Amino acid sequence: MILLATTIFALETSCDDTAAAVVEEGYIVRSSVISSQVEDHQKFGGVVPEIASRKHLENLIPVVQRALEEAGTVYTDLDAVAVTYGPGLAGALLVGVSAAKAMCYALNIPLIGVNHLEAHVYANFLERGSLDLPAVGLIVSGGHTSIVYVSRDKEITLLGATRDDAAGEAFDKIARAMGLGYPGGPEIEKLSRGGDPQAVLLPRAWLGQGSLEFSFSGLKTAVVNYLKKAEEEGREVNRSDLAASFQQAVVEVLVEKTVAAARNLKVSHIITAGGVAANASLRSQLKRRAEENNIHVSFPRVEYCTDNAAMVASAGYEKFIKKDFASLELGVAPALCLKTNGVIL
Amino acid sequence: MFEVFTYSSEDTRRWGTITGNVLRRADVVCLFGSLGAGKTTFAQGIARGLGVTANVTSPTFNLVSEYEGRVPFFHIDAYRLHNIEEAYSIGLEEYFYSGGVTVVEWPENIVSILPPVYLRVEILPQNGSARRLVYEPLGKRYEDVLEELKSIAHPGS
Repeated sequence: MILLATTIFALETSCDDTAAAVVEEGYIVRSSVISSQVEDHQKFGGVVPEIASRKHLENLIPVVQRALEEAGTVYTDLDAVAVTYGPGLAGALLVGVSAAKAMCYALNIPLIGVNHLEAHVYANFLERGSLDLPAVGLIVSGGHTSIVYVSRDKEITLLGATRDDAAGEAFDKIARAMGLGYPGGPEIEKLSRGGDPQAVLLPRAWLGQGSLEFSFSGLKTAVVNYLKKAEEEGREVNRSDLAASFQQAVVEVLVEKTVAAARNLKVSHIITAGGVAANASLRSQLKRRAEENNIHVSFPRVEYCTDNAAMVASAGYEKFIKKDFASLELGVAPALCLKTNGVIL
Repeated sequence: MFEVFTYSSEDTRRWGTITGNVLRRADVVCLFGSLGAGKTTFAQGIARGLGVTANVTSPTFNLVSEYEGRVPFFHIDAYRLHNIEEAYSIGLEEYFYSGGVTVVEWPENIVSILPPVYLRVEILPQNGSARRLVYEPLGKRYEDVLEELKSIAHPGS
């Protein structure tokens, strides 16, 4: 028995995945179980919350048990339970938060409330145990597109976010407009291969010099208009070219703004997070542009990019050592944000 | 009926603000329009007209976003809902009766829980970024809203 290892159990139910994990010392992943509901959602072309909430209830106990089994731990080995309490769907968050409270009450161990967005950043610490800080982080998923600053003591501050649609949402909506499946990111990426990313001229929203905000709504409209016009003219659309051009328009803005933020803040590290950070085109272009500027980029392993509980455990560990515990009155916070102050640009 | 032509997304947002200015507690606005028509842009304008200072983003992922203005502002997006049980299970209809102004995107997905009276606005894309906004009042309250909007659009007439 290792006496000193701190073992955190974590739950994540903020959107479409029920996830549980056991993580030691904030980075040694003993288990990370995700009951992906992608198959259920595929026929609807989007995350369906009623199904999500009901599935969370059905999945929760088996997922918790499997996480403990895979880790080779029992309930009494746990030092604390960390849970995502926002942002996300209220009904879905409630399932995880209620279960976490019940576990903490029964085991008499501390409860830790974790911000889902901060947890995404912590995915970068998993299996590494350390990270070069300070860094600029790009969090990019179906619900979020944000650039953050991660200080030396792991404080996370928001530098800029989307003004309208999240990047992943744009991928999903364009995929649906093109008759592709869900989730849209991997489908667009697949279709893009062999396509010419310069074939269709699409707008990039820079939003003024130095802006770290994003806007993908105009790009979405431009693609919809392009499809509509082609249909009216009876013109065949080269779907690979369109997918590649759309993807390029999203990736280019994400890459340039993230690199610009790192340069302006004079940090030499970029970390990435969120489901869209699994996109191969984003990874290669961000790496290339960063290296040109002597900036190192870190990507979490693909399974830690999408929603998972290991990242929640890692964020929870940080709060555990600071004794930043939640009471059993912890409520869900569907609109939880990141701090915006404290960074001198 | 009342129609407005807008010539840019900023113009569409401005009409949202003009609309938001005349709205009050318990008002409901349903925004119809295809993908990319400008529903969120118009809703951002309404938020501005209600005195919301926070950045209003697409609620597609979260389904409902709540904001504080001179009255509460509830921004609903039913894009991801495909049957009415889903809407019921998350209590969407409660927002209409919670004393704020509610704006609904993709209301066609939740027709049976919409209140009996609301302001219907359809956003029809024209060439480029031009849009035709078609306002249709369902109920006396919204006929009054349209009269106010008409007096702003055609002062003195």
